[in-house]
Amino acid sequence: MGERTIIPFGPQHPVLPEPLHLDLILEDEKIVGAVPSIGFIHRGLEKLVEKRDFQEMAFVIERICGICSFIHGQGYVQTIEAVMGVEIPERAKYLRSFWGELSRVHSHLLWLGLMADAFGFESLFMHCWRVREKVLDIFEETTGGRVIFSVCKVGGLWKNVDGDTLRRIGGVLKDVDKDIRPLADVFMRDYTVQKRCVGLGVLTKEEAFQLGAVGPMLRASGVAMDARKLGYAAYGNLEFEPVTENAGDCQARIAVRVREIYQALDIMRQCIEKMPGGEVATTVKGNPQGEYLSRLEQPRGEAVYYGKGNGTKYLDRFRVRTPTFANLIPLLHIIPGCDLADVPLLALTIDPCISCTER
Amino acid sequence: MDVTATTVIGILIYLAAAPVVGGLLTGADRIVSARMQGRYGPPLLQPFYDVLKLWQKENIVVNRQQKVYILGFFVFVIITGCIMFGGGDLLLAVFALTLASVFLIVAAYSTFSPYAHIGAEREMIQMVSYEPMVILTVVGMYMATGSFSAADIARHDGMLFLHLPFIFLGFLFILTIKFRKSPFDISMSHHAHQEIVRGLTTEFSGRDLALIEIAHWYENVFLLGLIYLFFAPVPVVAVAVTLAAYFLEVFIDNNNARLKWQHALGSSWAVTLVLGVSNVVLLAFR
Amino acid sequence: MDPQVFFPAVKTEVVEIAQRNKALGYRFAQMHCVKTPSEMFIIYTFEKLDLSIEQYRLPAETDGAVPSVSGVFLAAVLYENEISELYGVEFTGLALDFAGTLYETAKPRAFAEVATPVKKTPVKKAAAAEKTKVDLKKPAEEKAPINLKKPADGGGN
Repeated sequence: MGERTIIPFGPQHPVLPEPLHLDLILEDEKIVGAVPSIGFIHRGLEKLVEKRDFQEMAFVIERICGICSFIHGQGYVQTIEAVMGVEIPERAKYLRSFWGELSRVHSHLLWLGLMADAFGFESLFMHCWRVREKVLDIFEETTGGRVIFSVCKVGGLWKNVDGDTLRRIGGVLKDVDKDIRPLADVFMRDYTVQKRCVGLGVLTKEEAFQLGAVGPMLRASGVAMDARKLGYAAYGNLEFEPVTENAGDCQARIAVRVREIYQALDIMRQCIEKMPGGEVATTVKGNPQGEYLSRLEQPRGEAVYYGKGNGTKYLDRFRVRTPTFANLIPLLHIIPGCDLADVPLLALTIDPCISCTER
Repeated sequence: MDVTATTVIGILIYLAAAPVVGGLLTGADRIVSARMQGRYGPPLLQPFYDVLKLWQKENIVVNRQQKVYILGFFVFVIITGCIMFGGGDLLLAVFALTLASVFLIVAAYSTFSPYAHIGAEREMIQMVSYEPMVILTVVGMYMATGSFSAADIARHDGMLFLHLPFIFLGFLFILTIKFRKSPFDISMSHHAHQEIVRGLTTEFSGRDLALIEIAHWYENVFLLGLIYLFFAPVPVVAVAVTLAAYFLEVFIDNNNARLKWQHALGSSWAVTLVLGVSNVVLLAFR
Repeated sequence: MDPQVFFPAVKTEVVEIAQRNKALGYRFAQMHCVKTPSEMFIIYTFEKLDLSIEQYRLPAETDGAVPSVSGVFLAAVLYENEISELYGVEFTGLALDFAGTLYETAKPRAFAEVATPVKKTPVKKAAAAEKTKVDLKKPAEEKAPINLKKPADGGGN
């Protein structure tokens, strides 16, 4: 029976993308318990509904997080549009799905790089982010921003993308697909990667479902739940199936995210093919009255958006339940029993977006 | 060891040239790694700029004892190299290097940081992993040439590599641990950060960290010198193989994730047993 | 899209509702609190494998006590801590109680006070320009030179 030490992990830690604190209780190098602590970047953004009218609030909600920015904006405007009963043009729906899937690609590439960094494979990290630059260039060309796009508004979109640009982007996406293949190969088949990730942090199907896991964390344990199947935006007309794996360990989660990148590229190709013409915005008159709860699929999992309006231009409440908030309890469940060297891998395997969690 | 003119000249050349050569090799390592990662990389002389900058930094450590231990580490690494380049007893050189590593471990333990403590534990496990192979290397050289003295081994006619091929391969394997490169950079990674922040050297800063960096250059030159001894009769081939071995380590670093200490220990001992012992046994029955 | 039905619930039946839903195959999706000048309530959302949801609305007050469902669904524990910290609702029987240290906001119960929206007063253009005008004729203020010397006791080598 070794002696117990307490190692602080975070909030400032080179391996963590965002501040999360875990007090790890160690016996020699095995973890026997973890006490979490969040709240380092709680900005109380939800309270700003009292000061920003409902059109401006979209910009605030977008800035909850830099990685998941677009889909937060989309979730907000979608909820308010449902409260007000506004029907947006078809082209806007397809463009939202297009940018949403592009967000998914950039977010998963970012995560793959961070995961490679966590298990000490720096060159793989650099290459993943190099490929991600191409995706960010597409964002900049179509929306004007690399991280925060400010392109969703209640009633549609602020910007349109013409057909020629879309076709050219289709070609760039084919290049991205080709660039990712050797990297995906390393993630799925390299000996040292397998040695680090296989059998680590196993979450069984029942545990994942009951503990409230969402997104790739849930799907890697064999549960096929994907909020895109609800058919919001243009997803009702696009063909895709939730990507699942059965092992429930870190390697399975890497596999799910890699396959989701390919799936997202395929969905984007479908969007470009089926993109209808027309306007991208309708005029919105009046103020929101009523409440609505909608769910979207962020790269990290299912995000829940609840909006309540009272007839004035300031909303009563806007609530965002982010996927990482739901994944924190499963994280606390899989940490005990692993080695200290595995903690960064486990912390990253839920794809932590702490700025989303704390808002 | 007789102190002759060649001994003194060898020691002086080592003292002066080793940090320069070591620093240049480190700089080249960083540029090659960067190019492999699709980046541009720092200038070749960057390690020297880094050490000069570290030297000028204010010392903000909480406990002053670590300076003594780090100085011990530095001095004994230099003594190790001086013994070898002065033509002395190689076995003594290897044990001097072990003593230097012990100083570094004690320095890490003397700080109050849990990260440094875990780094020190891992460094001890690393030492247990590579020491047998290093000792077998020197023993193999003794069995092939009949002497532990570096001068005699260097002057032996007939390439040692032909007598010690397996030991050479085994030594190359554990060189990854000694150079602190993936997959075996578990206690203190050369380039990257890890879950224990900077591992062994987390609490070192300023001049202490500069001394450690310079000591690593001296140590690298010593290790490469050991590789040179395998091919000593043909200097051109020896230098080529030494440089190739160094860049092989850089290549391996960029193509592997970091393994855990259990893998490092297990694989090193397996290699030591299979390659090292078999070579020694073959030599014994020659 | 999702049907927006919120079944009314009372405090005493919350745990029973949770247990019933768990037996029916639902899991805990989320819960949140809404406070307006006129009312305050908590919404529970349960989710099934086929993505269908069932939602309940529970009237609540700041400083009121609500039984916790974390005994049935451990996943609820973070949500209940957040609500108790930001809105001041007390949950009895929490499986994991952060005791107000989850976010540690500078002001306790920060979301419990609902502010009236800020009205922007129209600023007269000329007055604003007057305030920000820089007089180029006046010489710039003398600033003290920055002392780059290290302090006397700096533990240098």
